[in-house]
Amino acid sequence: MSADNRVAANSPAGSIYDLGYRHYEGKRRGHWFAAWSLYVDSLRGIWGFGRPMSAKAAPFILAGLYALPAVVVLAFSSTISKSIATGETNPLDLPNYANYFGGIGTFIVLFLVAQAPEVVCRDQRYQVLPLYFTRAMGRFDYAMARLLSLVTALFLVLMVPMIALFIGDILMSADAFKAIGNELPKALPTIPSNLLIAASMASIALALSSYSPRRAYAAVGLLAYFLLVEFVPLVIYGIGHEAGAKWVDYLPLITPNTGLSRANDWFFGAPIPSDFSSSVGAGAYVLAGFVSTLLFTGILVWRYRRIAA
Amino acid sequence: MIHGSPRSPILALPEIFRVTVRQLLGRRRTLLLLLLAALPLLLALVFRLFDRIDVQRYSNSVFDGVLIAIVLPLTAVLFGTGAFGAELDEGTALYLLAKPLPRWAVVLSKAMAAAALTLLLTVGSILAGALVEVIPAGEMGVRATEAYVGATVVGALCYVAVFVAVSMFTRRALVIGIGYTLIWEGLLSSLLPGIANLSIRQYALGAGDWFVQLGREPARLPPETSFLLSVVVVVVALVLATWRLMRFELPGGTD
Repeated sequence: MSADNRVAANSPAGSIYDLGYRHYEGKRRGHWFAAWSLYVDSLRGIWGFGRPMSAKAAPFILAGLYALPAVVVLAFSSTISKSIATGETNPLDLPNYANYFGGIGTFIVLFLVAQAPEVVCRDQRYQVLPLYFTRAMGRFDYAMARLLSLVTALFLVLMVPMIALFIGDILMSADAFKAIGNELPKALPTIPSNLLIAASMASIALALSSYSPRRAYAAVGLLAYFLLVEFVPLVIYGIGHEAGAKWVDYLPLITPNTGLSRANDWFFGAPIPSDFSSSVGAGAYVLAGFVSTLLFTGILVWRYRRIAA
Repeated sequence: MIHGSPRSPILALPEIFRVTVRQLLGRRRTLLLLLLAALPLLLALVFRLFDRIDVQRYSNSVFDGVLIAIVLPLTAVLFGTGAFGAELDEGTALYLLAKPLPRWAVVLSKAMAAAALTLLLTVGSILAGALVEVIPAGEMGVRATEAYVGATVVGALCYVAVFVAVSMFTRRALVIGIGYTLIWEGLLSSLLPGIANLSIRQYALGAGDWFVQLGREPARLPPETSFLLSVVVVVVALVLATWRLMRFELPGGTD
């Protein structure tokens, strides 16, 4: 041990016990950068980048299945518009911006069941959370970075068919620039409505997944939640509505898929379907979506405040 | 016991059964399953709250839509894959397989434990719901209860046998079980009706139709076919599980 090292031992970086290793002298980028790195890493993980091909199968297949009907619709509506030349209204009630999620939102649930446990469960199973929390990143940063990456991934899945419908509708008309002007006002509400869907569904999925270290059990729990919280309130609403009870009108607000489909109606100004009570307006479903997002984000953050690490 | 003549290995069956039941019950997820199993009773109480005794509607939406479609497969997949899968994961399978027991007996008692628990939860759940909402409707209600108990028994036995077998072949049995229930039975079988021949849910509904056929769209398989196919499924699954277990190498045998 040379004299240099003893001098180093007095420096503030290692005043207790300095073995004489070289210290890190680079730039320290703080917790925002750490959270950003975790965000990027989780987003790559959700799509299976940097992992074997088998990890890419589920996200891409499910995202593809969600986008598939948009492609089919384009094929249909192009032939229909050629033959009938109406163009303005959909003669067959085909999926459009407003009712797309309500029609096949099941694939979004499947995407979350497959990928949300992927984001948070392994860190608990292999007990690496302490490694995160001893760095610049706090518990709150960790939870939010993971959540935002899932929201982003889900938003991408939701927007692909929307963009496909948009581009298809433009290319189908003869004057592309005029078509953009016509189509854009109709298409723009897809951005806030799908953001709400992504935030709400992802926060539910991640908050529930964070309670299990095993991915498979988290998936079972998510599945049970999404299926039953969808189905049971609607059954109760059905009979209560016929019996004339007023309080059941609020039950569809807590369903994930149906509730968010009604919130979509608000964004697109569509009327609420006749089998839902008119006493709860579409705006209430948007509010319910926000409240549910906040609630489950709170549960997620609370979970990571309390978790032993 | 040590010096006496060895007891028949069959006598170990109840012991494996007992141990497996304890392994399966002593988990946090059992609470979740109890909650799920309580749903039909809760919904029955809600129906009564609105003064409704509507056998057809209750049994179609709750027994068929909630219990047989969701609760039964989830219960069976958790118990079925947990019966042997947990021992493989934790390495305790070693102690079980090192005992001089015929492997078919191990498979059988494990499967029976998982099936017994699944049946207890699901049939109990149906009976609880039926007592409140269905049986008070009289003759029709009793017949409906019989039908759904029959369907649940057939479904539970098939699901458990299949999931026990799958858990012997792969560690990802739980994921495969969920995927099968959701994608194969949920999505694909509504798009491609021919899948009914390979869908345990349809076997269960077909078996239920043998008792009474309640307003719901008829099951895609006639009752006789359902019974036959479900027996085939159970036997094949258990034979495959035994075959797999007989070729199961105890870790550390060579080195």
